[in-house]
Amino acid sequence: MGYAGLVRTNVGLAFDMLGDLVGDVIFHRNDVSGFDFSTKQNVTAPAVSTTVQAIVQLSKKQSKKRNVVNKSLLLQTVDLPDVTSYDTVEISGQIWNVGKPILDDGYVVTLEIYREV
Amino acid sequence: MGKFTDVETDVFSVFASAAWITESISTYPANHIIENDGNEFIRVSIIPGGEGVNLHSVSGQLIVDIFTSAGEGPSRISAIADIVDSYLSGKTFKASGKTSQFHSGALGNAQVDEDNPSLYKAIYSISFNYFGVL
Repeated sequence: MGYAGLVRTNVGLAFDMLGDLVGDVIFHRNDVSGFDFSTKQNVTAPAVSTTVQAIVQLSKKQSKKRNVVNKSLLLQTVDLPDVTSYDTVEISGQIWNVGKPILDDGYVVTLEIYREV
Repeated sequence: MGKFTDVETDVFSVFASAAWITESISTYPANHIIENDGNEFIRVSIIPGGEGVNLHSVSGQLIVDIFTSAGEGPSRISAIADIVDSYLSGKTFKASGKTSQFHSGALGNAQVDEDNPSLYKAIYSISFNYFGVL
């Protein structure tokens, strides 16, 4: 096994060791391939949902003027290598929007999710 | 529709046209997250921020951000700007049922893109008047 595989395996072990700090979240994948100027709509494929394990790091109030809350998510790249800002995340029945930037070092993906409350 | 939606309809009709599609220049509106694209595309932003001749009219600017590969000189930017200009400069559009009249285009602010230094970006701008009816 090369170093990349070794790191990937150990990231998986780390997620296993975190026990109930790691939970299931549902990603609703929205594949947007372009924009149709005649309909004024994004060109999208039907949404696909996938459940992955993620560490939900914290929730904090983001804005002083509006009730916006956000959380940080940490997940394994191998589970979801192509997160986009068009995806939404479902946690405990609540839908969150993916913000930018989406950081992916090849082993873990770190992203911020937002919702108005 | 209202004046802002009408302007949008008129502008979008240009980029929805069969003629524009044959130009094969990837085109996106503002507030579209551009993904999986190559090194050449444009982003269209409508800014209807000026007064019109009456309450149902408006004037403004159409901004077209032109992105090409960095390090390959300005020629492709100029070529794309000329193509965009040929569709807009001095043209009148009525897709909304009203009238949007475009004036003369300009090109400026060319520089390496701050967000993606592999791209070179210039801004094509053109002013317009939309005429509603009282």
